[in-house]
Amino acid sequence: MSDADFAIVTRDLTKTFSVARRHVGRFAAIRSLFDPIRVHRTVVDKLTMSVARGELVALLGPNGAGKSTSIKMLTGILTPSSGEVFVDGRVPHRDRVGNARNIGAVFGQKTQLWWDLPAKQSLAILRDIFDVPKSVYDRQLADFDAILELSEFWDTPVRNLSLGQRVRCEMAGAMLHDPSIVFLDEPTIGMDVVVKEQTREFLRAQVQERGRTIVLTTHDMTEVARLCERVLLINHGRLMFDGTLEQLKSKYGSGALVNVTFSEPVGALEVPGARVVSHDAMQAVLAPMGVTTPEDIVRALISRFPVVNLAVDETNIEDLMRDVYLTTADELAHKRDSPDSDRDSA
Amino acid sequence: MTTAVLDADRRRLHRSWRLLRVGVLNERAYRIRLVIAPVMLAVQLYLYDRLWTAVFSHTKVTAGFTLRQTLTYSLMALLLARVRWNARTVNVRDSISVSVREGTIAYWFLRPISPGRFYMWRQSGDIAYGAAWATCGYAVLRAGGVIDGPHGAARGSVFAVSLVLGQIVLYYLGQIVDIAMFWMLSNNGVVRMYYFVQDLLSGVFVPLWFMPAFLLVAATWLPFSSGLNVPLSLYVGRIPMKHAAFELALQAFWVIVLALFTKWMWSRAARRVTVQGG
Ligand SMILES: Nc1ncnc2c1ncn2[C@@H]1O[C@H](COP(=O)(O)OP(=O)(O)O)[C@@H](O)[C@H]1O
Ligand SMILES: [Mg+2]
Repeated sequence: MSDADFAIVTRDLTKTFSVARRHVGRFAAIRSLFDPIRVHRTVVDKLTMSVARGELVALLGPNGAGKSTSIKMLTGILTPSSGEVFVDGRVPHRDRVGNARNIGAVFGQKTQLWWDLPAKQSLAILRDIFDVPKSVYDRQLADFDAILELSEFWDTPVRNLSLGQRVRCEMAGAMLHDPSIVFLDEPTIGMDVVVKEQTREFLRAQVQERGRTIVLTTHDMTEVARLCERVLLINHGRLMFDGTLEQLKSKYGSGALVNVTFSEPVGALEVPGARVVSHDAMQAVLAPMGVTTPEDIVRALISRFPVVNLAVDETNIEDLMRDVYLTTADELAHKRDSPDSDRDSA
Repeated sequence: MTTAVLDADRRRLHRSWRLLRVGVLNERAYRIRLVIAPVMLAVQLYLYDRLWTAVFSHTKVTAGFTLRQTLTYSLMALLLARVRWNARTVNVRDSISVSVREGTIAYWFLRPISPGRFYMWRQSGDIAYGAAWATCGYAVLRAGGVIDGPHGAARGSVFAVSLVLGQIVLYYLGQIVDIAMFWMLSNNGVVRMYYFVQDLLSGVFVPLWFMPAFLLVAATWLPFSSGLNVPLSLYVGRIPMKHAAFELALQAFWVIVLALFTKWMWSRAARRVTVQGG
């Protein structure tokens, strides 16, 4: 297949920022002003991946992994330092206008709506900017309203909307011009579960009924489990994993933690398929490894130890990353050519 | 093919027209301003009228101006300052300044119209709105006999051309300040300072002719005089008609220089966003 057959293709996509580092010692402030030390930081490092049309893919990684930077390159806002990127067969940063008609984007808490105007008026302005014909506009609004229930609050000025309401309008704004590819950078952060479920349903419908391709970054593993078949995991700008969530869990564990409290001191703690994260006399934290589930560990603990209290921590991406790290520590040591991604320039 | 092109053109025009409304819609969101703005303006005009009348109570001519000329110049300068009143507020949420600070500027680069074009239409709406206020004010002052009309049709038309050129100069100056926000990250203090200098040297506070020689020279060699002083001096007859062609050419020169400069600034700003992430 050629690059145009995929929604997204990247090859060795790399972004290096040049950042000013402060001088130290005498006249540091003045020297920093006139002769800053330039340091290159590789934030996205040889990212190679592809996304098929109509796929809903999660881009995962801890804070600072390079998710937003990757999305900015895919949307054409940022020019890559090296490597190739094609979105719907176009090079986004070279054909920004063509790309803009074809993609939609929501960047976390950043609003593109007009703060003082009713949300619906913002949508009307976006309609003008994107030159959306009336028939399409009406159909889109009806479509969005059916799931997101926008009409309940779209006459309210954006500044008076709740976070959940605003993000729903934001999604409508991003998809108003019927883009085939949508990028959502942590859109659901800080939203309550009801609204989260509503936006999930909306995104599913957009993929299944409208055939859109969606790339979603999030920290919420529940969201990933409910929405995405495929997961791309990056850390320090590198692609660490590409596959289904099931494959991810079987390879690295689920990222969940089991907290256990005993009624009397317990000596050596060994549970098959679990790694002991911490252990003192009366308490322990265990992480499931490989195909083991938290439930398996709970069962094993109850059958072997005097347990008085048990709690399973929500799966979260940071914990999962920790497990990925522990499991792939050797692999990483071989793969990474330099111990630090900061490299001073000549 | 031709109809398709025409159709696209018409749609584009339609789109641009509707983008103009944003400024007015924003204003409507704060209805109280609709009352405050004209009251403030009326108070300003009245105080200026009293002030100049007092200044001229012992003399007929100062700096080559009669009282009548001074009043006409000053009150019209106040009205014209209203034209860009909303366009120059840096705290509006969709201004470059706030968008850069909050990172929402990224969306400007995700649209089928360039950031510069979007800025132009957005500003044009604010300017058209301000111009409507200024025009109403002018009509009231003329009807009340507070200020004079232009002396003769020739002067009137030269003034009209000069006024438009002057507004374009001021539009570009404001745009330069706005684009500078890509680097200065909404440094409101510097912006206020700048606008004070611009107002002073374009003749908003006092006709330029009343200024000490060095300020007058500075204003004439910088683009500021082209903004308001030239059109108003033509209007009241302080610049003779035989110098009009030169003054218009100088204004046109500034328009071209500033247009090229803003174009260059936009490309630097876009580079800054696309290479260093804003
Ligand atoms: N413009 C920039 N200049 C320098 N460093 C940057 C810039 N933008 C992002 N970074 C750095 O790149 C890393 C990745 O950032 P980002 O892509 O936002 O991560 P994520 O979205 O995965 O949390 C972070 O360490 C961040 O500090
Ligand atoms: Mg991010």
